[in-house]
Amino acid sequence: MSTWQDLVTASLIGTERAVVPAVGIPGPLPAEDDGGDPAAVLLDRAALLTAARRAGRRPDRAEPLPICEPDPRPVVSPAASRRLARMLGGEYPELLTEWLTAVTTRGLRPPPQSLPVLLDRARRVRSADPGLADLVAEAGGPRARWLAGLNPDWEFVAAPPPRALAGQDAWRLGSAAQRRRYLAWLLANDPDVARDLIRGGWDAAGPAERVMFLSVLADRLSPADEPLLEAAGGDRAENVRSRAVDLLASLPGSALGKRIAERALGFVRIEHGGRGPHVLITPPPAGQSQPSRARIVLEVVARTPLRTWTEEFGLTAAQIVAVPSGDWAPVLFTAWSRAAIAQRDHEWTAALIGHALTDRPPRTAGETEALRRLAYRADPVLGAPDALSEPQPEVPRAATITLRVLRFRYEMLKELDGDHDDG
Amino acid sequence: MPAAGAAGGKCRRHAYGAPVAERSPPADPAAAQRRAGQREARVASGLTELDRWLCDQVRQGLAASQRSGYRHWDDIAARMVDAQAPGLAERLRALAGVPYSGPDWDGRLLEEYALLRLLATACREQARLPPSLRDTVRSRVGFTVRQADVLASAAPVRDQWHVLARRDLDQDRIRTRRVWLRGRRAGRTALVLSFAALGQPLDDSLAVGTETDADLAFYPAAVPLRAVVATRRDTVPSGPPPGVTTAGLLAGYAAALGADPWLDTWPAVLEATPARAPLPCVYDSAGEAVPLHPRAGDCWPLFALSGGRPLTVAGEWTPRGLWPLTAWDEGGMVLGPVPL
Repeated sequence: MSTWQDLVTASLIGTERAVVPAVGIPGPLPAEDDGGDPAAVLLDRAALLTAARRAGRRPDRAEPLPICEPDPRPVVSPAASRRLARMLGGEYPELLTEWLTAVTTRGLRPPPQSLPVLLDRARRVRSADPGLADLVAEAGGPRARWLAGLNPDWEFVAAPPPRALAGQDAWRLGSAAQRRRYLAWLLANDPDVARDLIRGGWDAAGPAERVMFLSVLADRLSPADEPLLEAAGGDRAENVRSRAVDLLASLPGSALGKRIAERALGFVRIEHGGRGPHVLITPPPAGQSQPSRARIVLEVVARTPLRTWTEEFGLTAAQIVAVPSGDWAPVLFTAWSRAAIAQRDHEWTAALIGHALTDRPPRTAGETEALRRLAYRADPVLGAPDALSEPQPEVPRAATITLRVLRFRYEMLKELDGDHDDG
Repeated sequence: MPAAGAAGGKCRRHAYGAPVAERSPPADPAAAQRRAGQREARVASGLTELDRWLCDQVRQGLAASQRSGYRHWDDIAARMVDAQAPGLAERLRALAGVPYSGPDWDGRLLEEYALLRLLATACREQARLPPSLRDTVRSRVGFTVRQADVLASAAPVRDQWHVLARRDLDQDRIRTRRVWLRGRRAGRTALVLSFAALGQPLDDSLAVGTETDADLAFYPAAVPLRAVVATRRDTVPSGPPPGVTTAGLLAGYAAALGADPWLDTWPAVLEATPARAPLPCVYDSAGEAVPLHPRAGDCWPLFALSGGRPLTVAGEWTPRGLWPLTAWDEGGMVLGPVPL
């Protein structure tokens, strides 16, 4: 190849100053090179060598990669793979966590070629959403760890899986996600020890970890948590406080829940007038440095245990939501939506969505956002065909988007329960 | 069909001589013949000008090219457009990126200049060339053959055509779709091109992972690859196509180069395993490797699909390496036609 390199060097310098090197190519050379113009001679020789080098190319040698251990879990169906590609392409990316959770709990795995994009995404959002990294590691299994061995960007999945760090080690040495996972496991298996661990660690923990403690507790709330939640209700950090108050509200029989309920019932009533029932709201007057009256109603109703209303009024959630409330309707809708999400109440969630789609579409930005959140948290069975009545043709976009999110979630989960690829 | 002359009155054509818009048959044969004669004369003077320009570059030294910016190539490309040699213009325009294409850019620029001079020389001497090579030279310079003429004159080739790979390229305001086919029975490879204005959908009728019973009409060339679908029959889903070894791929390309030295995009179907060292590559069961194209990206999905095991990989073989477009694993899963 030195001959080719010689030609390249001569062409870089230019034939004004460089001599055209001779080339050694088997076969006949052009009889006489183009009138002796050295530049033309160089180009003709280069053309000959280019074709010869391309045609005479020899194979290289490669260093084979290790072979990835097999993953016995079947790959999801082609339809589910296509849906994943759509989500990774930007369609409802918020649903990725739900999809991956559903895939792993069904003993399936995502198509291997999707792992690089999933790993990149998990890495990008790692500080905001550490759970996604764990989920991708679990869903990706041996193939994800094999890839992490090739690309240091993904080494977060190459770390031993959380369960391999046994008990106390995971708690003492693990990442935030590992600590969370350990705590959740402990709470399910030995709740008293788990609660001791939380109480013992509370004062030393930062606000992010205190929120983590609360969200783990939220999955298995018990009356025993009330003292801790009461204390957290007076926390320095606002997000810890509001989370604790939400949990207290959804804890049946909690003292705070009762206090809030009493307060709420003091200004929300159902009156039975001549034109049927309607919600009557008489909020406490707003003081100078106090929040507005609407704000007070919103904050109180959003934290009122939802069963307060069904018990007090003797109506179902759907019936209560349908009672006219005049100008207060947007405030009540937003507040009840927040309560339904915080208290994980599916009956109320379904009632609110159904109301927004068929009776009274959202008008304010607050309502629209509340409806959007409901769509992501509702039981996906609401997305089944005929689960909700078709919205009126003139309903605003927010309502149709809600329906689309629900349909997407329903189909996404149904797909995973259907056929899948073997192999 | 995109508007002709969308790019400021310049009718841009693909390297394979694809017409962006094809003119209808001439109404006045005598006038048409006169225009054709004028065009031949224009192209001939363009070829002389290009030859002089190429020699000037080499006389002054290619080192200067790296400093000159893309205008350097755009100017001579524009003169080739004026000379009605759009194929040459497109090759020249593509050279602007070469000085920034990484190590050995100088060698690649010299290769392209040398092949351009060879093309100019061959076109000037076309009367002495065998007819099929003359067709290749004229098509690469930018003389187009009307699709209707291909359909009328070429004997259609019927086969069960397996859709191997698809690649979309955006150039200026035109999107080009390249679809590579291989006949199941005769093993012949074909390239079907389609075009659309940017933002317009491309022809979707040939989907990767399917096969179609069709008659293809091939454009005349020394290595006939480009074809147009004359008749389509049934389309059915299809598994992986049979692949070859690295040696088989290189031998096939060498043979094709013997007939068309300008050929720099060659269909490849390999039974191979991706590896990352010493350079990203794929190797066959004999351990023989070809590199992946450096600009094909990191190809992580290809590696993820393989997991260290062999795949069937279809793509475009070029002098810089393999541009992978489709992959099948042992389970028959298709990866692509999105970039791998």
